[in-house]
Amino acid sequence: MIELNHVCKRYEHFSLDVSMRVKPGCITGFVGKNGAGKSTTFKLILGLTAAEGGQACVLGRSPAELTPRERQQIGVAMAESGFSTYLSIRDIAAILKQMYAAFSEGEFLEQCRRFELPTDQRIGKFSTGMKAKLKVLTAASHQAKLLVLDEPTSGLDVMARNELLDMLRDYMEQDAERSILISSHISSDLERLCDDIYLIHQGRILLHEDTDVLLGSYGILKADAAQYARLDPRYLIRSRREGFGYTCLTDQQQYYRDNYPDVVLEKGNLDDVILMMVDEAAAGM
Amino acid sequence: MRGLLVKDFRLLRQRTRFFVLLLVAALCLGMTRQDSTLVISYLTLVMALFSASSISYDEYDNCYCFLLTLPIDRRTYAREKYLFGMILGISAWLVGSLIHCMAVVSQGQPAHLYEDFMEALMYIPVFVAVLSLILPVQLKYGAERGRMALVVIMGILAVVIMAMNQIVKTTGLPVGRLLTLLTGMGDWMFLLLCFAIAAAAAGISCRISVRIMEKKEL
Repeated sequence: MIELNHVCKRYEHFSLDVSMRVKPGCITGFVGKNGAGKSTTFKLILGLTAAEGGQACVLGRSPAELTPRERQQIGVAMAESGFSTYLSIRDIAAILKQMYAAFSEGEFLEQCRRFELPTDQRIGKFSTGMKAKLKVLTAASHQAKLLVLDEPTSGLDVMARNELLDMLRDYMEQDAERSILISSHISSDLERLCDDIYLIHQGRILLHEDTDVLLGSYGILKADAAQYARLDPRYLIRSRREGFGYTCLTDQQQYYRDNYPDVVLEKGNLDDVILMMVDEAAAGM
Repeated sequence: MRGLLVKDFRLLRQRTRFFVLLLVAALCLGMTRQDSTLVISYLTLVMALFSASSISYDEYDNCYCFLLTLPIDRRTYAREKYLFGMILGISAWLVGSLIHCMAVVSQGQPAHLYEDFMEALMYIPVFVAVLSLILPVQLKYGAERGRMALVVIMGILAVVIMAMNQIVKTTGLPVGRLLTLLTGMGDWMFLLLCFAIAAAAAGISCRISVRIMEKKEL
């Protein structure tokens, strides 16, 4: 669905060089700190900005060459962009009806009502959460094969987030060929939803892993200086000095559980992995 | 393109109060100045300026980014702005003409209608020329910087015209003969020439706008 091969973009104080792949039938998560390059990557995928090197392929074509007919197969929700806030949901329905062959106005308005979104009010008067819901509903309103969702759950409460994530799961179940590329600051959302996850930092992909592997094999070791000296370093991805000794990230937690039973081992989660991977001090050890 | 047109017309509905005021002003102008076609030029040119505001709406809240992920290409986006502007301009011209006709007929001066009609038709190429100037500037520089850019362009145009005037005077180019030719060609021929020039300007302007959009980094 999406394939980026060393796609580059350079700005005055930032450069991006990304390789990634979103496979058919998969939900791929994209995480990273603010300014890591997530939005730029999304823009490159959507053809909003031109790459300066590498190869980008979306639905089998370069993003800049995607025809309007092919774009009908892509649904997009962007964190900081959307329809004009002077429009209402009814206005948006009328626009989408003209844009997408597979758009069903009745179904869209019904979904909006289900998520308690007023259809005749200006979007500008919506809360942040309501706007976020509308963006995802809009992206998913025309049976697209590929959804590109930039921070879709931002500003939503737990209930609304769960509802939206359930909606995305339902969306995937309707067609085995559909794919989603999703970024989020809320790691737990991605852990529960995604098949694989990319971590981007300072414009480079630091990590790509299946979510099952990430949650099952990654772990955090907490060792004092003596324990750390004895640890087999082969499977330590990152180590960071702490007050009590060292915190280490491993992708072979079972190995350390079996061979170092005296060392504290915590099951990994996405937040821990991100924190360790992007930690400059840990990277240097 | 239909989707974009629906969007721009739906956004236009947000300015209903402005249009009511504009219509009231046009009616007052039409009724008090039955001797001139000012109301037609007023409405048509206001619309030329107003049609560019649809670009401001797209710019506001960074809507551009999202709009260009919809199933349209950048070429279509640029062309739609011209079509939208033309629809608005021609509609305003028709409304202005209607108000003027009503005013003239109510005052019992229908004898002027033919001359007024010819004069009113001239506003269409003028409108097209103004639109052709505004749209690429707005697309290139955005609403805020676009206004500044327009002021600069107007200044440059004034300087160019003055310079040309000076060149004609000093070199003795046969401009007089050209003017005689133009004034002697008859109303309809002159009008046709103006329409042809305006159409050419719109074509060139549209190509420039398409290029601006195609090169735009979002």
